Amino acid sequence: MKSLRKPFLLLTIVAMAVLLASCFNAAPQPSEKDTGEPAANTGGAFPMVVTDFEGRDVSIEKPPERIVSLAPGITEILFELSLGENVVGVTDYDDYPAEVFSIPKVGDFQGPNMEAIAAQKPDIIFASTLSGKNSMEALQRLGIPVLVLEAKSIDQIYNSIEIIGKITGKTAKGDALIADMKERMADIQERVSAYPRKRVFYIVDTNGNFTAGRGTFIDHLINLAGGENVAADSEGWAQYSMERIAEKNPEVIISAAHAGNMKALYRLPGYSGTDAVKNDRVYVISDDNIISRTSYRIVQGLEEIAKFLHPEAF
Amino acid sequence: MKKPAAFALLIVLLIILLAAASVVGSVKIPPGEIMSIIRGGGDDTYRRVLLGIRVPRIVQAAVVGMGLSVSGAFLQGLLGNPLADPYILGISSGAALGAAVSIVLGLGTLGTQAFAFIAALATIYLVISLSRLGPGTGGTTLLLSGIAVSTFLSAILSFIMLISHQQMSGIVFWMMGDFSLISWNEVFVTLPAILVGTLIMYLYSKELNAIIMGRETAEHLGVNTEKVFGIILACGSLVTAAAVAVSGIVGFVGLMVPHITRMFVGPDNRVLVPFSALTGAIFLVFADALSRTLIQPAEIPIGIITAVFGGPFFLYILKTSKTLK
Repeated sequence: MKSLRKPFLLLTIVAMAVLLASCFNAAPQPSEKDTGEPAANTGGAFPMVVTDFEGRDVSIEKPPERIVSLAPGITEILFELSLGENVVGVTDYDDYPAEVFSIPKVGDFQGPNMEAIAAQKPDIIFASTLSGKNSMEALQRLGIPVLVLEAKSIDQIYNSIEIIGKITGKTAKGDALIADMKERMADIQERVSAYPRKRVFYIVDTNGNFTAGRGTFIDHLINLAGGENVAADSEGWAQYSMERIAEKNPEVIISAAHAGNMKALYRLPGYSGTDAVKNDRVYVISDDNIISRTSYRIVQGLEEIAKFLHPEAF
Repeated sequence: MKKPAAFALLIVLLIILLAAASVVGSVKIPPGEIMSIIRGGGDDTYRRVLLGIRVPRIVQAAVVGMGLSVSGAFLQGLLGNPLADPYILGISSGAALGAAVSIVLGLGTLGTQAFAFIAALATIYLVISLSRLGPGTGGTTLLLSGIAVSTFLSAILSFIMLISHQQMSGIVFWMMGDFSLISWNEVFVTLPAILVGTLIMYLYSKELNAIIMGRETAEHLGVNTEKVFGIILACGSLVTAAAVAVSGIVGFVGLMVPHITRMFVGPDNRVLVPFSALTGAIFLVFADALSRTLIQPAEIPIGIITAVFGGPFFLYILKTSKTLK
């Protein structure tokens, strides 16, 4: 159909040009220019440049008023710093404090919803790797500052509180929170230091026998709470054999809140002969999030574990 | 080699393998200790590891291997389909759904085993009932019914996994097949069921030979095909359901072992069945040993190990069937 070919071709070229142009004309990227002050958190003075945990420099013009948090840990910190009213978007993962349930959801288990986020007109987005690597690019194209403050250690949790405090003008509250956390942590560690370490096994899921090995937050907490993680010969979230559990003979077993039926545990071959089961020292964490979420409540998690391990210290 | 001699050799091989498998694992038990334990003494912990965890698991692997292979052989003959395995009539989908429901409800190992077992049997009953809607209980009708029910149940299972994403990894792990939760309890319950079921099926080997030649031919030879179909399906389902309930979905054993054995001993089921039983037991004990030792202290789910063998196996079948042409 020769008569239709030329206009069709022209239309295709124009359409592609428009598409390509829109890609490049996307919202301005967050400032990657070196403003002369490396990782400068210009205390209190706006506009400021902060460096997030991924090493990206993000420019903050003024304290954000509409905040979208894609990281439940950050949501908790925001609320604790009395910024709850400024939070305009959270994810399906968020469940603490109770107020979050009435905040619009802009992300589900499959990732953040760009349209929903944009609809809330936020002036800052706190992202996490929970959203997935693909989302990061999409988020940045929205033209809103994106900060990743995903803590991988307790020190980084303190750091994230500090940064949030600075950019929202709540430095005093932030510092107070950090100080409180540090004090409680020190107190717990001092109490348990008087007692010998207990061998601990942590169950993440009874189906498949998953535990928290070396390098996980939980492993770290167990060590701080005066325990010895018997699964330290595994790395990360790992499956662990029944034989090893029987051999290592943990004195205390701690289970995640949703690990499965604990009564069934007593019957299982590897567990049934352990000191933990014989002495009935099998405990369940009240809320999985206090030991795995990067929020100030991690201290609560540490406290719970410490009490399981050394009840006589409290 | 003469068949009786070969059979004896396989038995010896199985015994050696059982012994070898008892010696390896994520906990190194010194040989001296093993001797003490056999004599009734030995260190408490090692004793518990060897006799309480390792041995029942190895025995279960052998029993399941035997059960699945025999069921597979019979189903292949019954349905006239070389790609048939014990799960083809929907047992795996049903059992998985039952297990998933139990896991989501947090019912513990016993609950999961019970739910999986009941669901498996309910599924096969459903499949057989539905197949009566079609023209006779022929192989094709059963297959179609099985696939229809299987697909439907899988959809429900996927949905459940989607809405209970917290338990999803537990469900997926169960589906990959797993001997890590086996204790003597499981062995005591499943061993009689699988042994009896397998034995009864074996008694119908001659009838199966006839059915393979065609239902009409079989009827003319005096075989009550309706009855034989029923008995074999019932026993095969019982054996498979018992196996799946305690160890999840261990794939490829029921499919591959009869084929491999057939290549060596021929298609006469009176010979094929016992040989498949032994070969299946040997294969699964070996696979289980691998699953326990390759990435210790973690374990590779047994279903993954059997699937690793399965892929190349199919390629081999592809190659040999081409040369036959």
